Amino acid sequence: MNLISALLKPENVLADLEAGSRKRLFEEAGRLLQASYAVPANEVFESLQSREKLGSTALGYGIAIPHGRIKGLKDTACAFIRLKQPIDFDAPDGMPVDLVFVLLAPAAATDLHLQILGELAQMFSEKAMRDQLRAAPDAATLHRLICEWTA
Amino acid sequence: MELINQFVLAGAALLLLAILASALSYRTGMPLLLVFLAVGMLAGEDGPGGIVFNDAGIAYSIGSVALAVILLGGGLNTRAESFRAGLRPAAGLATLGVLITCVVTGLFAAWILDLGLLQGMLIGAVVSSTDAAAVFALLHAKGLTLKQRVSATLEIESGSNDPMAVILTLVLLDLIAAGQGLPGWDTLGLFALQMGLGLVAGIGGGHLLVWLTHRLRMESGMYPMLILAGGLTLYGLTTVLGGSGYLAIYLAGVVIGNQAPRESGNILQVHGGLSWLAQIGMFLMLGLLATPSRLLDDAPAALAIALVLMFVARPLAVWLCLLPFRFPPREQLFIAWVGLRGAVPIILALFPLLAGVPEAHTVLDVAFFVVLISLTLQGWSIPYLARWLRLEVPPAPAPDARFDLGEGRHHAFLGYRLTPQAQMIDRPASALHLPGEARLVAVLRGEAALTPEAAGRLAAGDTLYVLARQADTAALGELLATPAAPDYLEKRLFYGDFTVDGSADMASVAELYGLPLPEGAAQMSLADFLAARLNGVPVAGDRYRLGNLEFVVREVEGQRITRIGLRIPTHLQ
Repeated sequence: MNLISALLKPENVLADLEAGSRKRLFEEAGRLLQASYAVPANEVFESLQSREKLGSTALGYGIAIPHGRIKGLKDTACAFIRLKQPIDFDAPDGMPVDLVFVLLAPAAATDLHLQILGELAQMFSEKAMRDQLRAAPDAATLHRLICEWTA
Repeated sequence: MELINQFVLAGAALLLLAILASALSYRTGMPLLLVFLAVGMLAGEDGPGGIVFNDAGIAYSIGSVALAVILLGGGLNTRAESFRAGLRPAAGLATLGVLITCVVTGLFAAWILDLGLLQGMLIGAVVSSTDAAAVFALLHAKGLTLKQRVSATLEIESGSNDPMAVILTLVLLDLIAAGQGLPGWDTLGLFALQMGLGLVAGIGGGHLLVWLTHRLRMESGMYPMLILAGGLTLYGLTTVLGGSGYLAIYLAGVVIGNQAPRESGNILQVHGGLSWLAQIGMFLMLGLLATPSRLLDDAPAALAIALVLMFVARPLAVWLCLLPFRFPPREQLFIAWVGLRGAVPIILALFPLLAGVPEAHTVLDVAFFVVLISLTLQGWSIPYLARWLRLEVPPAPAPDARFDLGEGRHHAFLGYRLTPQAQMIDRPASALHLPGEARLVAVLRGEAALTPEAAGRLAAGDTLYVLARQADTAALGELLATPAAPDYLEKRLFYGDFTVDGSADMASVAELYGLPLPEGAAQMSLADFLAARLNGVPVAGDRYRLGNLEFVVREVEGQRITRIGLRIPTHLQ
C-alpha cells in the first residue's frame, strides 16, 4: 500500500496516449480530470503550465511529475499517462519523457501533498519499476503496478 | 662509480617502495603523505634502513624545488571559476591569518620552551603556513568533493600562504642575527617586495609561457617540459631578485591552467605525474632527514605546541579572517581543522640551521613533530569530518575518456562506459536522444568499434563515444555516466527530487508548495531570496529550509543561482 493507491482512479490511467507536446499533454490531462473531479480543464492546464514555467518537472529517465495547486479542488486529483511517443520535456538529462504522473492539490493541502510528491519520485527512481511500466500491456496493469508498489 | 650505482639503486628502491606503499593509503585511509614520510623514516638512521642523511643544504635544495613543482601543478589545476568563491577569504587567510597563527603559536612556544621572544616567534613562523601538497592531495583525493566555497578557499590559501611564512621566517632570522628586539619599518618593505615581485613575475611569466607554447612548434612531449623549465626559471629568478618564488610559480600555474594553451591536456597529465613524484621525493627525503630518537626529547613541549597550533592559533586566525565573509560556522570549523602542515615547516626549519642559529635543532625538532601530529590527526580525520559536517556535494558525473577538440575547448569527444545500472542499456544505439547537439559517433564493444547503426541494442560494458559541445557535457553526464558517489551523496537524496529555476518568483513557489511566505519575499525571485538568506557567496550544496521544504542550491553561474533543488526533509530521511 502507498499514499497514491487511495487517490488514483482506474479511469485516470491512460496507456499509449498520443500527445505531441507538453501543451497537448496538459490539455489532455485537463479533459481527463474535468470528467472525474469537476474541475475546469483550463484551470488544470493553467496550473500545470505555470509550474513548468518555474522549471521543468521532468526528473530524468523519461519521467515527469507535473503538479500544481487549484483553489476549487476538493480532493487531491491525479492521473497517470503513458505516452505512445516520448515528448520533449526539458529534462535534466535531456531525455524525452514518456511516463507522466499529474498531481493537483486542493488549496488547503497540507504536508501530505509534499509526501505524495516524494513518494512518486521515489517510485519512478527505481529502474525495475520504470521497466515494468513501459512493458505493461494495458491501463489496468499500469494501475495495478502503481497501487501495489511499496518502498 | 660503484658508490653512485648504489645510490641510484637505493633511491629507486625507496621510490618504488613509497609508490607501492601508497596502495596502503587506499585501504586504510592513511594520508598518502604520511605514508611517504613513514617510508622515509623507516629507511632512515633509526629505522631498519639505517641510511644516515643529515645534509641540510641538499635537503633544502631538493625540498624547495619539489615544493615549486607541487605549487606549479596545484596552480595548473586551480580553475579561475574557484576564485569567485575563494579568492578574497583566501587572501586574508594567506596573509593576516599566517601572521596571527605565527604570533599565537610563537608566544606559546617561547613560554613553554623557555626561549627568547624572537626564538619562540621563529618556531611560530616556521609552522605558520598550511601545506599545499597536503591540501591538494586531500582535496583532489578520489571520492571527496567538497562545497566549492570551502575547497576553493583552502586550495588558494594553501597555494599562496607559503610566501608569508617564508617572509616571517627570514625577517625573524635577520632580527636574531642583528640582535634586535622588534621588527622595524624595513620589514614592511621586505614584505612588499616579496609579494609584489612574486605577483608580477607569476602573472607576467605565466602569460609569457602561454604565448611561447602557442608560438613554438615542438615535439608534443616538449610542451609540458617547457612549462616545467619555464616555471622553475620563474621561481629561481624571482627568488634571486628578492621576491617570493613560490607565489610566482603558483600564479604562473594558475594563468597557464586557465589560458588553455596548446597541448593543455598533455601538460596537465604530465604535471599531475610530476607533482606526485615531487611529493614522494620530498616527503621521503624529509623522513630520511628526521631523527625520530632525538624527537622524543622535545616531545612533550612539541606536542603542546602542536595542540595549541591546531586548537587555538589556527581556529582563531580562521575566525578573525573569515569574519567579513559570513561563512557558516560548520565551514569555519572545517577550514580551521584543515590547517594541514606539511613540507614547508620542515624546509623553513632548515633556514635557522643553515644560518647557524643556536636553537636551530630545537626549531627543526618541533617543526617535525608538529607536521607529524598534523598529518596524522588532521589528515586522517578530514574525510570523516567533511561528511559529518555535511560539506560534501555529489561529484559531477565525469566521462571515462575525454579529448578536447581545438584550442578553445568548445567541443570535446567523450567516452562513457556503460555499467549494468546505466539507463541506456537495451536501447538501440542508432535511436538515442542525446542532449543538445551531441552525436553518438561510435560504440566500442570488446575488440570492435561499431557505428551506431551496426551496434544495435546497447549492452553493459559498451563504451559510447560522443561528440558534444562543452555546454552539453553536464546533461550528457547525467544521461550516460553512472555516479560513483556513496548513497548519501546520491543526487536525488542530496538535492531533492524537483528543481526550479533561480528566476522563479518566491510568491508562486510559496503558494504552490504551501510554504509560509517570509516578509518582504513576495517581490523577490527565489535566487535573490536565497542569496539574501545564505551566508557568503552562494555555492552548490548550500541549503535553506522554509516550512516543510528545503531549498538546495544546485547550479551557480557567475554570481547568480540558476537552479535550485526542492528537497522534502520529512520524506527523505
